[in-house]
Amino acid sequence: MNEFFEALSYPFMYRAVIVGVLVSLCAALLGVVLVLKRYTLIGHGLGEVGFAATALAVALGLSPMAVAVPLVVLASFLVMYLSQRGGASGDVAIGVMATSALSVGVLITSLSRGSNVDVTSYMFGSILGLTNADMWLSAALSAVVLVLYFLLFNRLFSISYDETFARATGINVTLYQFVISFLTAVTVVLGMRMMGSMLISSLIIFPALTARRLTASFRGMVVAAALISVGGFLVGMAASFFANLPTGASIVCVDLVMLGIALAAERLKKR
Amino acid sequence: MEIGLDNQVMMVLDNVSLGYEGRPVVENVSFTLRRGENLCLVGANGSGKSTLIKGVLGLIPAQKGAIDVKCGLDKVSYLAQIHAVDRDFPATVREIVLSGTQRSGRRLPFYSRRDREQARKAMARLKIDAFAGRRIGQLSGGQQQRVLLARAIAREPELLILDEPCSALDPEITAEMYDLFDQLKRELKLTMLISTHDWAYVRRAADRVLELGSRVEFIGTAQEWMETRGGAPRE
Repeated sequence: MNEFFEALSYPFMYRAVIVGVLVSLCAALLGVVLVLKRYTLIGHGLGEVGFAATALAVALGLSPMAVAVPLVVLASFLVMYLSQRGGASGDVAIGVMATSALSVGVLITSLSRGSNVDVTSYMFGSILGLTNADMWLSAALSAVVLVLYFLLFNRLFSISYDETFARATGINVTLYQFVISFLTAVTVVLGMRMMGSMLISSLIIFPALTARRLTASFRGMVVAAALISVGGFLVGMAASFFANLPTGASIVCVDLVMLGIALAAERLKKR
Repeated sequence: MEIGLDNQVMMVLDNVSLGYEGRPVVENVSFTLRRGENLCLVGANGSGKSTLIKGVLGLIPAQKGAIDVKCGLDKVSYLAQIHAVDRDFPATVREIVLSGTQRSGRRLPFYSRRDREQARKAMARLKIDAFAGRRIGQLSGGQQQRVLLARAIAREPELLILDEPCSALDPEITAEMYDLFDQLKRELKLTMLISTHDWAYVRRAADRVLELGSRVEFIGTAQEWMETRGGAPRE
């Protein structure tokens, strides 16, 4: 274990841990709302849009985040707009958008480099490659997500629990849904570097699902999801360090084990 | 005509048509709701009661005519038909009742001491304070509806709109709930618009009756409704 703590003195390691903790926190908090509102597919779809945006940025020689943030935010608004219209159009839109974005991303990568060597790092993350600028930008965006979430906490509960009552009592539900979309888009872009576009949605879904099994209150679920997410990240990061495994996939596997334990504990409790 | 406390107008509907995707469900509805009144909305399933209530609450726009809620939506509260609460939804009774105190125009997004006090009083009034910390999904249907009623009154409304609030409850709990509505109306000086199929309640509690059948079939006092229509809406 000492080896792991010693490694933390290297800039690439502490940058990875700082960004990882912040992203895990943002993803877990938003995950609670997305899981309860059954919007979890949005995270997955946006990850793939993020992949295409990153591929485009690299091809054009621009900063990936500068291209990905506006494109993914736009895509999230489009998906929210289509979901609002009801019926299956939201799901269909996400499906079409995700697969199209993935294909476009692969094509751009292939055309711009003449090979697909770098595709896996976009798809499955490369947290140790973060620069100082990446770290500060991630910290600033995480701060925006966390502050907005904290300020809107009670509204988010009302909208998650009973949208009709919230609307009936004059709350501008549509506005808050777009705020949720915006925050999700920012979180997805933040998390892509660490988890990759394929795995970022797991960081949103797993901690919330596990926390839901453990708590009776919304506030409890939010706190539990945050702890589970940060804990899962640290354990996954350490596991990937010791066993020389990909970080994103290791974190997902740790999250999966925690969900399994929570489900088993719930079963035993019911008996 | 007995219409309660005074004649102050709470809400005016002027020749209103409402519906979905351009197709009207209720047409040309006009009525005035006065302060302190209990207006019962009756009619067969599909006659447009819920659509009218959605229109009044601003959940769907009017296709025609004007809806004027004079007291403003902040003074309106709402109790819907009981829906299958997701048993796993992580929300305690206290969280749900407190959420009723949220208002649209407020700058501070957090609950004030007054909000907490209002929620506490609402839970005590409906005798659900003993399980304030329990998850909503662990309660019986009747208890869940009491929680949602506590949420509705925690915002200290002047106008309470109820949409078939007892439709999925057993007869004993239904009777209890209707007694509760009477008690709340009296104690909190509420104006009530309630859609219901319970004619016994209408006969006993309504000041006026509005019968819908995609348009207004009848509007008048409960006494007139019973005399002219035998107290039973056309099915």
